[in-house]
Amino acid sequence: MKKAISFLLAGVMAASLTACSGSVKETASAKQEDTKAAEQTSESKGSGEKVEISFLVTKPEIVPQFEETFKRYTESHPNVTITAIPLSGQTIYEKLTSLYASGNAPTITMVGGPEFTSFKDNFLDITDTDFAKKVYSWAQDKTKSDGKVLAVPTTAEGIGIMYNKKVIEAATGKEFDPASIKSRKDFAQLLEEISKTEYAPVQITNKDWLLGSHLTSVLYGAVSKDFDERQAVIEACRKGEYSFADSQVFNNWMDTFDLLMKYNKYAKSPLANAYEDDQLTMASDEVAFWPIGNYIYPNIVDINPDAQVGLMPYPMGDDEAAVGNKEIVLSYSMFAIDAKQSKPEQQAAAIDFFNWLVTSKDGQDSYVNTLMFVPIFEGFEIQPTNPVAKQIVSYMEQGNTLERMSDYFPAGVMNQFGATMQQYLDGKITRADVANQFKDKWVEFSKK
Amino acid sequence: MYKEKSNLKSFQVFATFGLIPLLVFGIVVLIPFFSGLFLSLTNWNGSIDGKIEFIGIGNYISAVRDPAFWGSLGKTFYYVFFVMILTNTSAFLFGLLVTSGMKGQNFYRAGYFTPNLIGGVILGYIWQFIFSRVFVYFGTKTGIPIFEISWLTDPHAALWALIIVGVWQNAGYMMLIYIAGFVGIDKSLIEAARMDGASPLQMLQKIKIPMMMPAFTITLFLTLRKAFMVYDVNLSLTKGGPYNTTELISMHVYNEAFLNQNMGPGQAKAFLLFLLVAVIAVAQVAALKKKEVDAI
Repeated sequence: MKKAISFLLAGVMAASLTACSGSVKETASAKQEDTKAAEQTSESKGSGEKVEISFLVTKPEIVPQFEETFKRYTESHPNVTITAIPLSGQTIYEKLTSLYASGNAPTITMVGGPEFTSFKDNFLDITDTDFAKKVYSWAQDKTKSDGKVLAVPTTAEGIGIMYNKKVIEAATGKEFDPASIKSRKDFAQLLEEISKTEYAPVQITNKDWLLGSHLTSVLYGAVSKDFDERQAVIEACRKGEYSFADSQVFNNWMDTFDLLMKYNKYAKSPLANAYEDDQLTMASDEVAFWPIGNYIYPNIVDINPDAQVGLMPYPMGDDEAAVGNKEIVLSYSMFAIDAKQSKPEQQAAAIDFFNWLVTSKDGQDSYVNTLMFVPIFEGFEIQPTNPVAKQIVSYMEQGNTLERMSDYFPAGVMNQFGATMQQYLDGKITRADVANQFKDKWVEFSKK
Repeated sequence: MYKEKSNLKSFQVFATFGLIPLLVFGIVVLIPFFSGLFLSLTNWNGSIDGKIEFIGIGNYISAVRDPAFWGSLGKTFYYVFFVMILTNTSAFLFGLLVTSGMKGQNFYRAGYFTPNLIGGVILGYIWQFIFSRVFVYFGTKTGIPIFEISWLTDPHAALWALIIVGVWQNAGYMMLIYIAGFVGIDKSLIEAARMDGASPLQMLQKIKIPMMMPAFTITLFLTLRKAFMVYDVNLSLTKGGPYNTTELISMHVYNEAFLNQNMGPGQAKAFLLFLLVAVIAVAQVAALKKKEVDAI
């Protein structure tokens, strides 16, 4: 409790300080001028003064890759030092709240959809910057507020089921093409075939963010192909009017989950396997399928450079036409620059960093080959060469994507969904309980 | 108390020794406490620019209506009860053992105290490894069912894992206080008892325990407070899992405020917890103070 209190207090004191200085009531036009001033200083000062900027990296698994990128930038811009702030086990919201409250806001922040909504008033208007203009127009809606661009997407990420080509081919003796799995039926057959060999067909990571946010995005993303209809479902969920038990999509989603559980490598003790172990088993060719996102790919090839893994959709029905059978969830977090607590020269340096990252050859090389990001920017000369990124590009090109619906979840509910799915995974509750808990938690957390 | 003649002089002495600590106490304890109390009466949602409106006791009502709060509190009582009993029993026995004059007792003293020197977070990770790897490896090799699956994946076993680590961490420290209690007993009392032919057990029961009552007052208070406030081990060992079943009250308050972004109700819960712990601790100290005796 002491900790909680002292955190709160620090927050209060910092809040009252900023309130006194009057910076809170900054208007949009003032912000705009800031940006211009910031850009001017960057041009006039060139590489003179030393600038230190901080970068909140919210993807713990690729902090070293980010540091390598910063190093490369600093080589050509010796006056700028970029320090990575890791999440260190906190959620993005926790970390940002405490950083902002203590007056140590990071110059550059990586945020997801919910945090973007909560913190957008603190972000710099970057509408007129070069790098922000390069963002694909279809990806801009989520980054805007009142017509102003406040963030840019980081990387296109796919969520679905990762497969290990080597394992599947060793187990079946046939060439494997992910497109051959057109429905859950095909998937079930393949799992059955693999289960008869020495290889494990499936592993399920028991983390709440995976079960409660990434995989539930498949569920809510597949309810409809239409944006407004999906929003209507979210609205119905908030009001408690959506009946999960009667929903065909929910039942299909659960059927696939049951199938995965049946062939789970850790079926005996499904909450015991650690995320780190799962990366090892996938990389060392022990398991065929793993519901996860491509964000884990850098780690897999880090452990085993010869790994042949790819991403396929989470099957959503026995019927080939079911939405979700050929779509992966496309998700992107965002980069934003702080407008409130950073100095103009820091903001200028941050803008310059992104211009370098998105438009220069070295920057693009770091973006694609060091960070292993998939660009949502136009005019990239260097395209990803890794097979999973290529797959995601092709899913995007064919329009076979589902929206990342967890961006619309009320704060904190994803952990509850995760806890529900953990109980289900552990065999403690039934499908009806899952449906009820989903329904209740939606209402409970929307009210708060 | 003061030997100084004028008020100014005595204020100078006070300022030299007491002002800075008092100032620090005010800044890090009093101001946070009262601003927290104030916040719990508002609808502040944690955002930096958010408007703050006074809403009375609404947060307290929603706090006591939250079943998760009571569930977490119940588990915390269970945890506190067993940590208190087990820590003090083992600490007392360790204290007895290492003051008995056995061979190498200083080595054991240092050994029992060492866990207390490791920070709670690291301790949690060490034990996480032990529970989920070492025990499971041991269990699968030997076939002892209780170790075959990780304790941290079963709600009840995970709570006991927390209790074991809590006891392991605190027993050494409490042992030191008991040792001080044993050593502080006037030798003449022990000698007199021995002359009267008291057995070692009688001596413990009639002389040692009553004489070291102050040590019990302190250790019980410390374990009570530490167990109620546990957060670091809770975070690093189970992180509230499996499925939020080992979310003890401090973690519940923290999650309510920062994870679910309900600053008001979170702060209200924190204040309720403060009241509860204060009442229990004061009652415990008052009750034990009455049992303390003066021999001479």
